[in-house]
Parts: sequence; C-alpha cells; structure tokens
Amino acid sequence: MKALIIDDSNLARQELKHLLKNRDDVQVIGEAENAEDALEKIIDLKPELLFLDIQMPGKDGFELLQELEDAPEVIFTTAFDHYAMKAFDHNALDYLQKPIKDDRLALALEKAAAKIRKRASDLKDKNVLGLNNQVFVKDGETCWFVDLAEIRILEIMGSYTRIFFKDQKPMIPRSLNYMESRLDTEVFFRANRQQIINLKYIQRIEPWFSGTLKVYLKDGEEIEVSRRQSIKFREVMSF
Amino acid sequence: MKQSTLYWLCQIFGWGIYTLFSIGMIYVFAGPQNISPNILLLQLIIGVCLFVFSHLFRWFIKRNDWTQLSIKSLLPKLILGAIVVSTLSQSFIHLLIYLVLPLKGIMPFSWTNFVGFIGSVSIVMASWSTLYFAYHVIQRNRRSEIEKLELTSALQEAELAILKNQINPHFLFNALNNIRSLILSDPEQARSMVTHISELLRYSIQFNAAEKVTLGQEIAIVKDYLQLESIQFNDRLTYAFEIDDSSLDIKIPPMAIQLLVENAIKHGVSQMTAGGNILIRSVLENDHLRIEVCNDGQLKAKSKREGIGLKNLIERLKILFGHFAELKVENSSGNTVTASLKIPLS
Repeated sequence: MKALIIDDSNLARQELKHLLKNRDDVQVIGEAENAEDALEKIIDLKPELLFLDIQMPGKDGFELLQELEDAPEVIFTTAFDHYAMKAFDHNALDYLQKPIKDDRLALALEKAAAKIRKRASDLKDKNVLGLNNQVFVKDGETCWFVDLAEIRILEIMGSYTRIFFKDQKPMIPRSLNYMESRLDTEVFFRANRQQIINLKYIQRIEPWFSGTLKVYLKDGEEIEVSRRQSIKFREVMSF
Repeated sequence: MKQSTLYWLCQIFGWGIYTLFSIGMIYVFAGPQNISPNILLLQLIIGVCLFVFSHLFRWFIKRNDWTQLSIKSLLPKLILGAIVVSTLSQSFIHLLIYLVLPLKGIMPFSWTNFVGFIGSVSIVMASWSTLYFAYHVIQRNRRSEIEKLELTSALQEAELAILKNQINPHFLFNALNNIRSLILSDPEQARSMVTHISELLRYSIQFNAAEKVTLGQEIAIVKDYLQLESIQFNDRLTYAFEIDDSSLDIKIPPMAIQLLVENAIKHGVSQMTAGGNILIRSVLENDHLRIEVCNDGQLKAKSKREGIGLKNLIERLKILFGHFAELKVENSSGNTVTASLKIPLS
C-alpha cells in the first residue's frame, strides 16, 4: 500500500515512519504537515492510504477529507480527541491513538489492505466514480465514509446535495449537476430536476400521469420520473 | 465561657440586682425609716426564693424541651408558667414569713397584698423567661449561621477541586509521542523533555486548587510547558517573557498562566500554518499585579466546547479573591489577542 503521512508535528511523522519501516505491506510515499500541502500530494502521488492527524493548522483533517471527491482509505491518528473519537466509534472509522501501539497498527493496516483490495477488483472507467469508491461525509459532529453503492438517492439542496443512505441523509458540499457528471450512468439515473436515483435500489415501476413513471425504491421512497427522463428511462431499462 | 456558668452568673447578678432594686424602692417611696433588719431579711428571702423558683422553672422548661417549640405554642405556655411559678413562690414565701419563721415588723398578711404580689412577680417571671428564650434564639441563629458558613466553605473547596485546571490530555499524549520519537533521533533532548514533563505533572498534582503559588513558581512551570510545546510546533512557535523581578513573590492560583498560554497556543499559534509568537508579561500596578499573555491571531466567535477552561479560571478567581481579581481576553490590535489577568496584592 502506498501511504501518505499527514501530521503537523515533524517528530510524530518520524515516529510513524519508524513504526512502518519494517513492514513490507506499506511504503510511505510522502509526508505533509498541513491540509493544503496534503491536498497537493494526494493529487500528485495518489496514495491508497492516508495516516491523518485531525488537529492541524488551517484546515483540520475532516475538512481536508471533505475536499476529496474520492477519498483513499484513511487511518486517523490522534493524541486525544474526545469528540472526534465518539464520531469514530459510532461509525467504525479506524483510528489510532498516539503513541501508537504496534499491534493496533497492524490490525488497522490489515483492515485497510482488505478494503483497498476490494476496491481494486472493481476496476471501472477512470473518469467516473466506481461503486466501491467512497466519499467522506461530515454532518455536524458525526462523520461517515459512504460507499457509492450504498447511496439510494441524491437530492438537490440549493447548491448542495443531500444523499440518502441507510437511515441517514446528510449533505455534501457539491451540486447535484456536478455529482451527475461524475457518477456512473449505468447505476445512477437522473429521475427529475431534483433527484438522482440508484437503479439497483428500484423495487417496482408504475406508469403515472401523461406518460411519466413512478419508481418505488426498496426502502419505501417514491420518486416521480419527469416526462423527458421517462422516455430515457424506458430506453435504459429495456436494454 | 461555658453556657451553664453564664447562666449561674446571670441568675446571681439578675436576682441580686432585683433584690437591691426592691430595697431601693422601699427607701425612696416609704422613706429611710422603714429600712429595718427584718425588712432587709424579707427582701433577701424573696430574692433567694425567686432565684430558686426561677431555677426550678428552667429545669421544667428544659425537661419539656420548650426551647424547641414555635413562638405560637410557646407563648401561652410561658404566660401560664410565669403565673404558676409566681403563685407557687408567693405561697412559699408567705408560708415561710407568716407561719414557719414569723418575721416581726412587716405588714400583716392580707389576701389583697398576696394576689398583688402574685401579679407583680408574674410580670417579673415573664421578663425572666423572655430574657432566657431571647438568649436561646440568638444562640440558635448564631449556630445555624456558623453551620451555613461551614457548608459554604466546604462547597467552595469542592468546587475548586472541580475547577482545577488539568493538564490537557491532547497535549500530554502528543508530548509523549514526540518524546518517543526523540529517543531515536536525539536521546539527550528526549531526556530533558522527560524532565520537563515530570516537572509539569508534579506541579499539577502537587497543588490543590485552594492553594496559591508564587508567580516565580508558575513562570518556571510555564517554561517547562513551552519547551514541550516547542517540540510539537518546531519553529512555528516562538515565545518571550517580560517579567518584573519584583513581582516574582506575588501569590497567584496555580496553573492560571499555564492555562492562558495553552489557550494562546490552541486558538492562535496552532491554527496558523506559519505559526506565531507568544509574549508573557507581568507588571506591578498600584494595588494589583497584571499578567498579560499576548499571541498572534484574532478572537473568533466561540463554539460551545471552547472557553470551559477560561470560565473555570474565572470561577476560581472569584472564590479565591472575590471581585478583586479580573480576567479579560480581547483583540488588543488587528493581529494580536491579549489575555490579561488582574490579581489583587494582599
């Protein structure tokens, strides 16, 4: 795994590098000491794994992740962050507490490796996001990594987009039109001006007024497909 | 003085003065020619009898716990009690002076005088009990006042313990992690960092929040703290001290300046990619010491999580110094924030 270490303390970066030195499953391809520096290096070096400190000058670790449209695997490193850790525990995100214990590190790396392998097997067109790509979402104090495959509906909310997955519906700071351009059209379909739906969640479809369609999703949501999109929808669904 | 001693003194002096007063009345209104040895003996007998009967009354009051009664239920009992005690004492006196040891040269017995004496002695007994109960009410109020004060000070001590500024765990674990790294790259510096962290820990454990330390002690610990923060922030953190030497022995609450410096780092230096500077200054002014911690940056609107440390420090100052201490945090210029702490010189 190619890893990038992001921490504002130089000593902390050296310490982590030392811990990773003897492991053959990880190679550290770079270090960054703040979010801006990290953003550049993520684009340049395309790491598969980030070791990410939360408290940093300027933007913090969460803000950095929100700027990434496809987040790599992340292992958070933190000295002691009561509030952030609650968010982690709740969502099973992986984090390590500094000073880092060897066996905890090994466990976190194993989990990350498994996820990265799964993602690699899902090779997709490079220009769109695959179903195993994940986005980082933070809504108030809670945060999630959401696989695109889990998202049922994307809905316009001003210049933001509300995403529906499991029983959550947080917002991400991107427009619906932008999301549409980045999503795989074989799975995500623009049903109307307001919504994009995940075709894999459709339970049944009914004809609606004047040639439109109504789509029922597995989790009970009902979505009306606009007249123009209904024509397109029939084409897509009839193979 | 013991309460019982006080009671006996009051009894002796009270009834003594009463007896002398009665003799004085006879002297003034009936004339000096009426002062005979037997009249004096009679007054003495009356005084001693009232002394004894009032003491019996007290014994009765104590036995029946009248001091615990409310005014409303006490009042009728007292009036009745005064009349009964007065009647008993007059009967006893009359029996004594007319039958048992007949005294010569006194007024002959008459029912009118007997009833008249009962009436006047009832008023005397009522006054006696008023004094007696007034004393008890005052004592009780004073006791509850003391209890209240003791309770308040115990409460304040407990509050201080809660308000005590703990070492920030985020800082502590970062420091330990940095030291772990230093052990590989610079063992000598690692050793001195372990010393700084020990000093800081000892200091924060050693002093309870009700104690005060000298400014000199606090500054020494702030230096240990800043050394440890320097290895976290590298060249991003610079700092300077301007301490008035004559202020070094002034007493301040422990960890107060440390908290202000920690805040300066947390909300100033650590937020800025390029880092920043911190200045710690002490100035002696008329009747107080002014401590200032200035950092680069600007105050932002606070989220609810922040400011607990400062709020606790303000509470501690209020408990330790009343309204004489002051803490202010404000933008002192376009790019500096100053926290200033005013400590009264005691």
